[in-house]
Amino acid sequence: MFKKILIANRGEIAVRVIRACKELGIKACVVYSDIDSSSLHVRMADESYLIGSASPEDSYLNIPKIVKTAIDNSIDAVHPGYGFLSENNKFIEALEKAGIVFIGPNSDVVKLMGDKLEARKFINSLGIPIVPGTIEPTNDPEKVISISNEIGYPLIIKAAAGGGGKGMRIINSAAETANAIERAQSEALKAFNDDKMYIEKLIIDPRHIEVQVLSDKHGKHLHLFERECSIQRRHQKIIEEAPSKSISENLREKITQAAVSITSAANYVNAGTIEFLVDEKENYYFLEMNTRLQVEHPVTEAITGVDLVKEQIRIANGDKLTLRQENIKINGHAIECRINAEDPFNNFFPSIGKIGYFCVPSGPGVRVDYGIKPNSLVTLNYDPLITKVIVHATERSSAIQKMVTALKEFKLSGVITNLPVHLWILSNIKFLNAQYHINFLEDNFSPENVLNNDMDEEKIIASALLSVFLKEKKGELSPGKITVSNNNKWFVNE
Amino acid sequence: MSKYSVVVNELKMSVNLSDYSTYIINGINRSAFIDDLMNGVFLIRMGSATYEALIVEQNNNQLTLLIEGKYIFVNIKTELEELSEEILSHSKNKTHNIKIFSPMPGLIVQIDKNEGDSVNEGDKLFVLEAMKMENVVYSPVAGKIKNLFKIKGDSTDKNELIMVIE
Repeated sequence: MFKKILIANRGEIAVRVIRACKELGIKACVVYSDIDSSSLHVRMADESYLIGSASPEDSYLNIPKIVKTAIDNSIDAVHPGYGFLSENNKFIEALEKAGIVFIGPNSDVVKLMGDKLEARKFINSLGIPIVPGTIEPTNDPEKVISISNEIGYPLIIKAAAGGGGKGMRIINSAAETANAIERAQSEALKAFNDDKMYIEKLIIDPRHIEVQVLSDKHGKHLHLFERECSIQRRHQKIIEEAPSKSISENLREKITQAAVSITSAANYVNAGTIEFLVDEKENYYFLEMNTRLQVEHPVTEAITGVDLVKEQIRIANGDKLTLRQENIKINGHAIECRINAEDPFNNFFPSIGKIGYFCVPSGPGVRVDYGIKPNSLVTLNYDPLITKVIVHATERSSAIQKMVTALKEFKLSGVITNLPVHLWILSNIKFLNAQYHINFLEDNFSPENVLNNDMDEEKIIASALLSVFLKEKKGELSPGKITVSNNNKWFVNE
Repeated sequence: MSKYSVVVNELKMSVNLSDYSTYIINGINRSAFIDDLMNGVFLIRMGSATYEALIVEQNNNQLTLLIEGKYIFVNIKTELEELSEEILSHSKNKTHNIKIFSPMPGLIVQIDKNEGDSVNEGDKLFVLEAMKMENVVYSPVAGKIKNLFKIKGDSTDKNELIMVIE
């Protein structure tokens, strides 16, 4: 087994991987940027190496620095976490060249799945449904209009190198076509330095369902069932569940089989996720494959009892998977809420500051993954995800109740988070009935709904009395060191 | 005994404090005991209920609290402060100057209005990029752009003055 693993990441996922390393008796080493010098992942690691400034390009995204650090410190294997370099085939190649194991798949499959167009072509060749559209680069308006005659509007033009909602435009009519292509292409060129485009039919109000896969180096390919991830804002998931309560047993069978046939055909190794869009009639379409650990992996861990990070490490070490498909069962229901430092009362702008008080929920079936502590800085340099709350119960309704209870216990000052947005979603009738799709939040969210959700008069009075108490004691409310703009601080009257 | 005007989540009430355990809210007596547990955590005991409130943000007369997963926004003034503000607002001439501040540090990637342009409420003013996300800032009022202090490509700190609308 490896002696030293380097974690090329930060925040809650670095902490998650450190725990797995320690449990396996492996030294957990991390890299960090100067602004992260007192971060939780640095405090917990066995060894930590400062590699650069706060700007990701100078530290967590800097391939030469990370590879050199790994070589200099006799690192056996590197775990990339998610985001940053986790799906960068050049990083993987650089490690392979240095004789260091990458805890993940080979660079060729990462490259294949990273090119959305190549991935579509590959999946199509396996006879697995892809969203109707093109499998060749397409940017000619005339051609797009002729495609629309076959599959109908609305269409969506996407960048082959795309992700995160960039380089994408919806096309509703022939008249919009040329302009939409031009804008999407220029955005793609700017964001990815690649303006290769393709066309897909826009699936109306689909659900996002994904399958967790696990493959070893000896040709064994397993799936660990699906996750439902339709609660999203701007293509970013915020609540995930396992299993999905909105799909039939028949569809579950189809997508899990499709997932395993993809990993077999690609000779895939390590953990991965295959994402599908599912429409009202249970038609399913391959969306993309993520060749890494996902943010939402804990819900799968909860219902299957499998520690995905430890499996990743064992697989990378060359061990055979001891798990057997027939023994992997769905046990109960799990939900994850992503707590982001974003202000829901101010257009979800990032809320930055120094964490003051921090007290996480606990109790049976409650797991909290976090990368912050009191005095940690939340800055604009990194992802706003600061904590994940995961609950596990025998059935969905009790999992929801458990999550509501847990979130009400959560105490965090210094930044504003989306905590009340979660509580509002968890009380929404469409969510309770598991009848939601990826546009749920866009269609239903308003700051007023969130502000007034479950607000009783006694809490209002208690708040008023506390403010009077503070004002009376101190003459005025002493300005807090860290201030976060709330709804009305956009402008002031003079 | 002091008298306060308190607005909680847009709900206005007047509160008199007679001692630290008796409060008169809109004329009704309520007894409450408040414990300061340090680090911004307070216990408010009212009857059989105890609320744990965390101060998330505190600034001049504004207070943001977290109670049971919900944010509560409080604005508090003494009667005197409220009175003086009223007098001040009456003494001013009719044209209001609205200052638009940057809500966070970032890069101004687009400005949609120039000095002298008229704007309607809800019009796009400028686009701020932070954390790799583009955020659109809309006009809170109708009026005319009196001053513009930034150009496209400028970076800005939080609460920096971007423009004035009259």
